[in-house]
Amino acid sequence: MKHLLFILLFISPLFAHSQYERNLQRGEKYLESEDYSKAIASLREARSDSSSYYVNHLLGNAYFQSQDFENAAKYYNRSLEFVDQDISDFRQLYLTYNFLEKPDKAQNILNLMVEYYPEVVGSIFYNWATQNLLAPCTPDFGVRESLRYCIKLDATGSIDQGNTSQKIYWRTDDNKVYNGTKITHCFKTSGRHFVKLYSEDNSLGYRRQSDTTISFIFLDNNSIVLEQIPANSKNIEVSTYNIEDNSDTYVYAWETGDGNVYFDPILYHKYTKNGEYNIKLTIFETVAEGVYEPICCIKKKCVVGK
Amino acid sequence: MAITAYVNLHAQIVPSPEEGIDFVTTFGSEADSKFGDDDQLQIFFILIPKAVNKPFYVRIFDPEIGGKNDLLVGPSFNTTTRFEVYGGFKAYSNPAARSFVKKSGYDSGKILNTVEFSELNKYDEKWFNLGPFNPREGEYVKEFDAYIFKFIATGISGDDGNTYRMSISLDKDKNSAILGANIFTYNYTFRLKDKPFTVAHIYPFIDTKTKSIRQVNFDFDNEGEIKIYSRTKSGHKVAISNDNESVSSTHIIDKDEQGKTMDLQIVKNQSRINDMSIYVLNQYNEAVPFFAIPIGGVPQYKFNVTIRYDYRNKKQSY
Repeated sequence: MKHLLFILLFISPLFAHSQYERNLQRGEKYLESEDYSKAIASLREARSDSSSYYVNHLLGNAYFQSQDFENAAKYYNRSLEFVDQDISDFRQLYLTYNFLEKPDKAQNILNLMVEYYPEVVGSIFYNWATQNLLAPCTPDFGVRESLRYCIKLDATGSIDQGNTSQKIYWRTDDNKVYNGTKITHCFKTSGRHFVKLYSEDNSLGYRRQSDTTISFIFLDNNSIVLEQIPANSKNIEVSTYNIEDNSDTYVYAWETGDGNVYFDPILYHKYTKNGEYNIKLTIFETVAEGVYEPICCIKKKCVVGK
Repeated sequence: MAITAYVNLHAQIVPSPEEGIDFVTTFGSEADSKFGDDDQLQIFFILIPKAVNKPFYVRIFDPEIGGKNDLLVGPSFNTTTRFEVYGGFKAYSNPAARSFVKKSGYDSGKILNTVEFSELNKYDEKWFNLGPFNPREGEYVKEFDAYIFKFIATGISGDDGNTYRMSISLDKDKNSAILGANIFTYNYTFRLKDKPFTVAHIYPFIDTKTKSIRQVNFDFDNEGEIKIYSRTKSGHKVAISNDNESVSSTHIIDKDEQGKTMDLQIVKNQSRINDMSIYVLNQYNEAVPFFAIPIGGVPQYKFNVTIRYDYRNKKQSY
């Protein structure tokens, strides 16, 4: 009896470990073959034997690809509890919260990324994640030329609530001066424009001033077209046409509408589910090393598998 | 506290050119606090990077009490100020030394040099040298990767105000920069410039654990305003004190302000001599250091602007 007990005590951890390895390998295989439901089942089995970094990381990926974003967030968060975590876990968790439209949580993850991996600030991913430009890439041909290049600027977020004497004013590159936190201005020409924003405090009759320059671009005859090749397939390829001047300085951010984002000139992506997806392309211009200025964005509806 | 490396090109002096302050002020031990000094004691820490291996001097400008600049109280000058330099174990690491109020043990460490000044016109508007000091005589502090010395000015008798400047230099005849060195304090008593609308700058370094600060200013005589400028604050008003009064206000620290320097701007609106004291505490009631040369440079406000292309043809606008 003593011998039997000894054998059981000795063998059972080894048995559990080999079972964990088997389930993990199965999970990896199913992930490779894009059978996400079987991958999830195997990985969950593996996790019940040992909740390692790697199994949580793979479970996050499997749920993300099957578009179960709540569970993806759960397992990516768990993978971050391990010392093995790397920047890709933060990135995937950011994309997950972004897709779930939880901006506060996404921002927290971005802040942690910057804290642990400060070099991320110079990446296109970070520049994409921190911009909020919604400028169409096609010019406004529908109205008369004098109203074609108009911009709305809002500096409400620059007001210090603890300073009632702060005044905001703006100077455009065609020498128009505006007061107030919100302005609308129409330029006469396309191309890059600059607006200087001033914050001024005259509370004691002594002027203290700080400023910043905002730049943006109006594209003219460069209507950009997105084309899906082939139409209706789960594997899509989307290219841009008519990007002309300095196209080598442009950087592209493709949001595929199923939580993924790519930073390649041409989008290649395989959807896991049939349906209609909104693809959004944001075009950035490289203005300095690690600094990408958003120029404009294009949206396109994409039908897959129908 | 994580202090990143920085390089300064001009000599390290307090008050520094960036601060826009005329003099440090230390009053005699019998002085009335209504003149602006809350403790008749001034402590500065001198940070010498580990890489520095040449001896340096601590230099004091206008150390005597009399002649120009100093504040006469009563019929004649009767004040003595003691200047001391400390190094060795506990010179910095003793918490009492870094307190915002005078606590037993503030003079911890090994005394390296001391001198007393009273009415001795020989040094009126002249430099006096202490040292030279071997950088290794300081206390090595790992968080700065530097040796720290402590400079203490104490008003040991009398009731007049001693105004002076202090610098560190590799040269005994002039102020020459020590690469990467800095000077900081936790409670600052100083004289504002006597011209109206001049701006004095105090540069507290906000570390990454600070969630809120409480600034305490003493005897500003309600003479203008004090405002915070930082990465996310643009002229944030703080409470200001009247004559012989201590006033405080608490301010939340944003994530973007952590690990950076803040600029406390003090603007006078009158032409008169005014000495005052100021310190800043974090949420744990620990004093926040003011650096003569702001760590990371003078803070730049981060504007937050939303841009929307205003397409009149709304069908094309997102």
